[in-house]
Amino acid sequence: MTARVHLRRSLAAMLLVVCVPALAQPASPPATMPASSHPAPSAPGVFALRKQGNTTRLVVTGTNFTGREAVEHYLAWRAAEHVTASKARWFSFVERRIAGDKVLTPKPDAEGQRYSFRLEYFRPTWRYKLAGSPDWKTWRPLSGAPFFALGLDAKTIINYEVSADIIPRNGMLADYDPLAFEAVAVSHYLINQVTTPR
Amino acid sequence: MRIIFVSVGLIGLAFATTPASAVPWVRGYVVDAYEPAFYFGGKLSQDDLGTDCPKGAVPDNDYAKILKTSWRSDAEVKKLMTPVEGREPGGIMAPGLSYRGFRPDIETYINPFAAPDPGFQQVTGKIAEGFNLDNNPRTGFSGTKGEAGIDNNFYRVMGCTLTYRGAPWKGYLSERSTDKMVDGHYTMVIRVSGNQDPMNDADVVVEVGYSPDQMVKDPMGKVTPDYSYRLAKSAQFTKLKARIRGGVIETEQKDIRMPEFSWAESNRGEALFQKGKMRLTMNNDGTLLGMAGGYRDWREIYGRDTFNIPSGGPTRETFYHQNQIGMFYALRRNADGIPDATTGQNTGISTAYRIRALPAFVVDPRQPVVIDQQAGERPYQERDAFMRALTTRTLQAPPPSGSGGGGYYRSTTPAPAPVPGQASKSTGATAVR
Repeated sequence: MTARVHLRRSLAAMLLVVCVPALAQPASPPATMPASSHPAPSAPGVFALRKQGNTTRLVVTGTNFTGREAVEHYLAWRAAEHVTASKARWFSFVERRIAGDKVLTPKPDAEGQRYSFRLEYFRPTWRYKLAGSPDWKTWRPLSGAPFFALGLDAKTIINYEVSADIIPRNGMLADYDPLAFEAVAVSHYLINQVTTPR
Repeated sequence: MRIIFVSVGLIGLAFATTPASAVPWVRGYVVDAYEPAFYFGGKLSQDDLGTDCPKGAVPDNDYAKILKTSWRSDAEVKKLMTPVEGREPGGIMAPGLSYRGFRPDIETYINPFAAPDPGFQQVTGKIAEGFNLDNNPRTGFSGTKGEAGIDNNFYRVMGCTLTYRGAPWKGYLSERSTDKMVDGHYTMVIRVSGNQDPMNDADVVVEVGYSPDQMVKDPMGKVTPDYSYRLAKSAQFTKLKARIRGGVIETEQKDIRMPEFSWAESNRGEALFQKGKMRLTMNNDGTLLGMAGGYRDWREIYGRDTFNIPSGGPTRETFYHQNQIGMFYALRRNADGIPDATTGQNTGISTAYRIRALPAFVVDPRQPVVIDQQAGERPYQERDAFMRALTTRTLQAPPPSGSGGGGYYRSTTPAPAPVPGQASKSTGATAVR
């Protein structure tokens, strides 16, 4: 099991090395990165990222939906690996909020417990297509709406893109901030759990 | 009047021009108290709210919360928490506490990274004891006398725990460890030598190390001064250059190897303080008081704390209210020195330990001294497995049951209670006047 997982991760890492430089340098980067902006559509399972200023947008795509947590954990793991490869130590998760969002901004607590990461605050945005529907739909966790509302079935997803914006950082981790993630800790926690989305 | 001034001036000049006394001198000490130097911001009790820990000492764990995993039902959690007459809570919950990762087969003291970070209540105060190890006044705490840049992140992580918080020499584990040390668990000695005035000497040598000789105590249980102790030099030993000003010894900064702060047979041994320093004050009553500090390998601190008999992980988490998973994450993120050459991640965490010592005769052994060190038992195997897991990022199985230590972590038998002062090594008292 271990050897196979290692092989798979090695291949994934090689794929990243090959794909990322091309994807990371768009010909004409946009001035801003609105929540609906994504890198060009990519093949299922391919991870992509794009830099804008100090922010990096990470996207993972797939056609075989296995579960929300599985995909989001894979994205978090890739974020941590990217930060480590960038010689940074930790990253901030950037929440793109819009009017009407019902989920409150998590507040840093300097007197409270300190953490290396809290994955419940790694809340990427989803775009997906359901079987029989030509339209892409968007789900933002900050909206407060349930992941799948109105009786829709997540198992009918035939295409998805999950994206997150992060800012890689160095120096001491802001361990009182729920949106701060120590790269080595996230990576180590997830490395034996994640599989590449298909 | 003028004559008096001239006379005083001449006498003063005579003292000033006379070279400092060049008589070699030696002072020996045996350490009778040794503990992490954790600044206490409360008044008396470890539970006091204080500037160090505004919420007081860390309360007991919420076991229902920490035992819950994606694969363990509420009923299973409840069963693990149900008291059983005649059994310690640590023993009842040990199987559950030892397995709380993302899969039921992962031993999470050995693979703590397989559980999410549960958080850790750290010191939020601004004052600490210790040294400016990185010579950067902009990093670290303020010292108790206003010094800048005091590096003691071990205190930052552990200073609010029930294990250590309290007035000097009164911390829960500090008292237990010192009791065991003076009962014969191990002996540490210090020898200071120079060539000038013992209170002001620019060319001093400080030797610190292990002695195979058990401390001699009076009928009240206090260590008796002025006995002789051999100084082993094969391990747990360091010789440092130093200088003394006004009776305060300040050593050079270099790696220091000396006995580990220890409370169990399976976690004593050598402690390595990288980029270490010592500051010791020779008091008028003949005692010695001060600190040793340096960067300790945070993985070793976690390993010795978590894998030992009789007070390993489950005991730390029940009797001492620690959360070993939270401690693992906190030690790693607060590591502030000695970066790994390959990964760049810090392997060292800044520390400082208080030392109190009594006058003694510290002598070189006539024959090489064998240092009584254990190896090959279960806690050592568990530490090895933990290090493999950490460095390879692959999950490691616990050592097989019966490989020493009685398979404690999987055992459903009653957990051995952490009895203060429990018998440990018996080197026999060989001290002589």
